[in-house]
Amino acid sequence: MLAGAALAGPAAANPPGPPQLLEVDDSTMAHAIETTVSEVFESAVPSVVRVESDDELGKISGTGFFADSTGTIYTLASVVGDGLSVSVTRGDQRWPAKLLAKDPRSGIALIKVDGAGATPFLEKGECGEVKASSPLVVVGFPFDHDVSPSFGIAGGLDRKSQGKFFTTTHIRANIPVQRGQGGSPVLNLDGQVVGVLVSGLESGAGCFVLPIRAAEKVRQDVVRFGDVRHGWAGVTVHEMPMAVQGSHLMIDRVDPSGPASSQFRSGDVVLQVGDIAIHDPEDALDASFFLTAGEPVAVRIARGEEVLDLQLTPAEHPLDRGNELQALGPGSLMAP
Amino acid sequence: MNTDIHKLLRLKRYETPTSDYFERFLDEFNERQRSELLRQPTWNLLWERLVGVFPEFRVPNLAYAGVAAAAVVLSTFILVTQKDTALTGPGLALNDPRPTVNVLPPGSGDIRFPVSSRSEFPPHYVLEARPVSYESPYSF
Repeated sequence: MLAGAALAGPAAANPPGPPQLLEVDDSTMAHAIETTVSEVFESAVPSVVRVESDDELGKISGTGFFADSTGTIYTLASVVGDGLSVSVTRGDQRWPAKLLAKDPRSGIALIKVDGAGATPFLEKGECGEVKASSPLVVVGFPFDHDVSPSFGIAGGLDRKSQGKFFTTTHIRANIPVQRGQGGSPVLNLDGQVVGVLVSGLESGAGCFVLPIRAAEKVRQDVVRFGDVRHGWAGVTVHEMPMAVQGSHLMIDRVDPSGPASSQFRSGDVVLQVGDIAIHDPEDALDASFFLTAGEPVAVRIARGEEVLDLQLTPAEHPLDRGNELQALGPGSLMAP
Repeated sequence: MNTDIHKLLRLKRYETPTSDYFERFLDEFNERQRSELLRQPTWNLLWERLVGVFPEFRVPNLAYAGVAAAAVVLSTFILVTQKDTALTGPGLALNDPRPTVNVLPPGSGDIRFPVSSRSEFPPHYVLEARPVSYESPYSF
């Protein structure tokens, strides 16, 4: 019985052409998937914990995972509540945890357990390699059940859903998840974490995943500065119908009190911010998310016929200055 | 003008309704009378009957309040008696599923009910409906 088929990448010796089909026995393929998912799951389990907290409304339960050997744990801001009473459970072990940081822009929280010794942690993968159809495994605690795997594929990379923009690009995964799994690690088939499960889709058959690179930006800020330091440039942009040097992103207005006011002008076309190439206005979301207040970043712009490499030192993000961002409408961040 | 009115009055003199009309009129009159009676509250009807039977019957105004107060006291007594019987009855004592009240020792100044507090509810298992999303792609 050779009904199953799998795609094989083009061999180096073969000329470029349509992908070749490898005929694989059904049971062999099923067994290979089972073995691989099982290995990923088993290797991740020691690093995945149940996170519980209390707030004024009662108990909250979610999932987290160790980010390093010192007991730092990734979870969701909505899992830790007010952070006054957080505990972590793994098997029969239970530790109190303290809140290190909550980031309202990404929804991520970092907590830390002391006295757990050197903790196992998950290796970070390259989330940029995740694309539509990439196989992914979620390991988390659905409801009050034991740690469980969920398997599926990436559906795509999204910056918005139902008209609402995310703070940065998210992975949309076609993986069924349950309540309680918020904060779970999302792993590739090499067992490396490529994202953090932040929300489910309405149908329950899919979820959104914050790429691990975005979560690591939050953790690195906390490691370096003791808190999350999102940056703000102070520019409003608009989309040009015609691309200039491949970019449709033109600066519309520069806040006179913002850090960009000294070098940037209305009419400049933004080509690159840090290592993020700009093509569409939505690329500004990623550019904005990875800015760090007080840390200079290279910005390439087109001004007339010239291409200029400038340096921008972002200011503190308006959200960190008092949560006023939510009240502002589109394009209204000029005067926080 | 007067001539016209006189003519009309003469004509009306011959417009006599048929006998059916008067029969229907009587029935309709009785029906309306009954419906008017039914609009009154029952207690008012009974009171009118009573007064009709005993034309000399008169009650002081304070008596109404007295009767009402007596009715309240009596009904309260009946309810309390029934409740005590139910809680101490031998048939219910073993299997009564209702929660009981734990009274702390005298002097503790606190009474706790074995009703679940919020912290005893199942936890809220977290999975948000969608990612944090409130930013505009047109500014940074």
